[in-house]
Amino acid sequence: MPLRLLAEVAWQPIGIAVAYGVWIALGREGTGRVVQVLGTAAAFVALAWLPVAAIDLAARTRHDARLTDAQLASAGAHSRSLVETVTRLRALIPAGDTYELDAYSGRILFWAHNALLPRVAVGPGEDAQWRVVWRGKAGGTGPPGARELAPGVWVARAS
Amino acid sequence: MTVHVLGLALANLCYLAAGAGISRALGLWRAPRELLSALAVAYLVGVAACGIAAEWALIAGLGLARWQVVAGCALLAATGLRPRWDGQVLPAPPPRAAGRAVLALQAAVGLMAVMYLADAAFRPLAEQDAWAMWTMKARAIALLDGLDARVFAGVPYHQVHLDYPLLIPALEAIGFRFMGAVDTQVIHVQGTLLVVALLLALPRLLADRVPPAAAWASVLLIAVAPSLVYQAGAGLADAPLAVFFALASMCAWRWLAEGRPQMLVLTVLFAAAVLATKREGGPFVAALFLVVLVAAGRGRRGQTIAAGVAAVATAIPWQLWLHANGVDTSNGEIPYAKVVDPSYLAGRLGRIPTGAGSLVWHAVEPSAWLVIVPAAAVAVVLAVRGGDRRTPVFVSALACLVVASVVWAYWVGRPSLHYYLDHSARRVVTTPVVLLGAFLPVLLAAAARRTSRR
Repeated sequence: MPLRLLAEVAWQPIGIAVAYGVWIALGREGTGRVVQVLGTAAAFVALAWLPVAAIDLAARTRHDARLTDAQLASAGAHSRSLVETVTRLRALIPAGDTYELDAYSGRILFWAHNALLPRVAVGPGEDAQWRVVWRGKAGGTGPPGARELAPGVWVARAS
Repeated sequence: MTVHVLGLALANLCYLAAGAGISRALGLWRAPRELLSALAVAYLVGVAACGIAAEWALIAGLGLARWQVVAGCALLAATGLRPRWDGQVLPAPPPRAAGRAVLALQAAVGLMAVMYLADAAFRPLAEQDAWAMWTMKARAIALLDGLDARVFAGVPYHQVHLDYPLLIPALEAIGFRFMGAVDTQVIHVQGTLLVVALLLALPRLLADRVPPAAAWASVLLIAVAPSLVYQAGAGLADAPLAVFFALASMCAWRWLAEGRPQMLVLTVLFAAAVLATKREGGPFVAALFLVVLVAAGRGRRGQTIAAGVAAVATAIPWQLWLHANGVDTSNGEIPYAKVVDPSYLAGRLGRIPTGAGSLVWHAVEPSAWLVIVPAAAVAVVLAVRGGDRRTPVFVSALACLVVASVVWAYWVGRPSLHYYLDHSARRVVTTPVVLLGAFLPVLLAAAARRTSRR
């Protein structure tokens, strides 16, 4: 943090020098004093903020470049168990098959519909090849012929 | 990753070739030397045209295979073999060498452009709207080989705004095709390229109208704005929407000022791209053509109306596809039957000041957009106080109408206002703020004409 602050402060004389150059350039264009002030002020703010923006971008790039495959796969997910369960569903349901997903939360539907592609979700009564029931809590019994893939997640292949 | 970046670069070279052809047909450049200085404009023309064409191709049943994209781009590029218009459309680059201050500003913008692209190449697919909607649709197109009605008209997928247009998913799907993989990191470069191209295109579009120092200072101000730094590579559609809308508005303004028909053609193209990017683009484009209609005067109203109709016509194929496949286009969030019901509207009047206040705050918040809006507001006042009222009135009316259309949606929309404000207010101000940033040097020049006369 102190290094970052130092870099940002050290840049400011350069920013001021360039902003002064903008002042001179606008003066040569005969823009008038008020516009000269406004144009220079815009340049000064942009130049003053440049190191902050550049360091933010560099820090984020550095952070993102170090993400592992597992972290990338679960970016944006609300829980690790969601990602793990959908990954197991991907392994179980062949690509191109259809499935019907009955989930207790819209977030699960969003994630599963994206991550399970090219498996296609269909609505009730559309003869899905796979039926998945995703309950909020483990336990109980699943649909006939289903097996529990993860706590509360039941999967059955249509006969 | 390198192979994926090269694949995406190849797709974008195809867009550039298409854009170079179209822009040459429109007279934006003649010799290759002129193309070099208009490269960013040509690229944006190409992306807009190819994005719209890709949406139509999907509707026609194509899968956006690599050969289809290359053939389509080659056809568009071929339009440049026979330029239709004579005369210079884009202003000539400044004859004298840029001063040191301008060179420093250009270097700063270049640095930000490189950093934007590097950041986007590593960005994870973490934004919910990106993974759940935009990139999800792109994956569906790439993995299911086109517009599979089981997904794009499927009941289980109704949460992903099936009625939203397909320019962004189509461009990303093409990116996946050219990468040969569904790389959800590198694909963020696609949207970022649009933002970078806008930054590089603006000074060229304004070369004869504003001092170069003012143009590059304004571009740098946009480039370092924290909200754009975050959004450019986030995989969302708000930044591309802002890019296309700023370009459409800039071309419309130039058409009003100079009357060159090519600028009206470009206005139609970029307005069509706005319509193909996001549903919210509809009211924005309506606002644009309303302002142009008023500003055009009696003599050019017919051309304005024809241009507006042409832009809207480009969106009809998608609406027909939605209708043919039984997708609900009634927009569940906006109850159209109630928007003229006085009792419904009166009971929600309190949403207007809260919604408008929040939008204005998000637009002027220094930690999001620095001083773009205050600087533009001061420049508008200065220009209006001078004699040149047309430009500041055009820009401020356009920005206000865009914000008003969002406030209207907040007023009549079903979701709670807090949901809207938490979920979208930060992003929907991108279009009006980028518009004001793009026009900032124009407004300064308009004000300068007055002060230099004194």
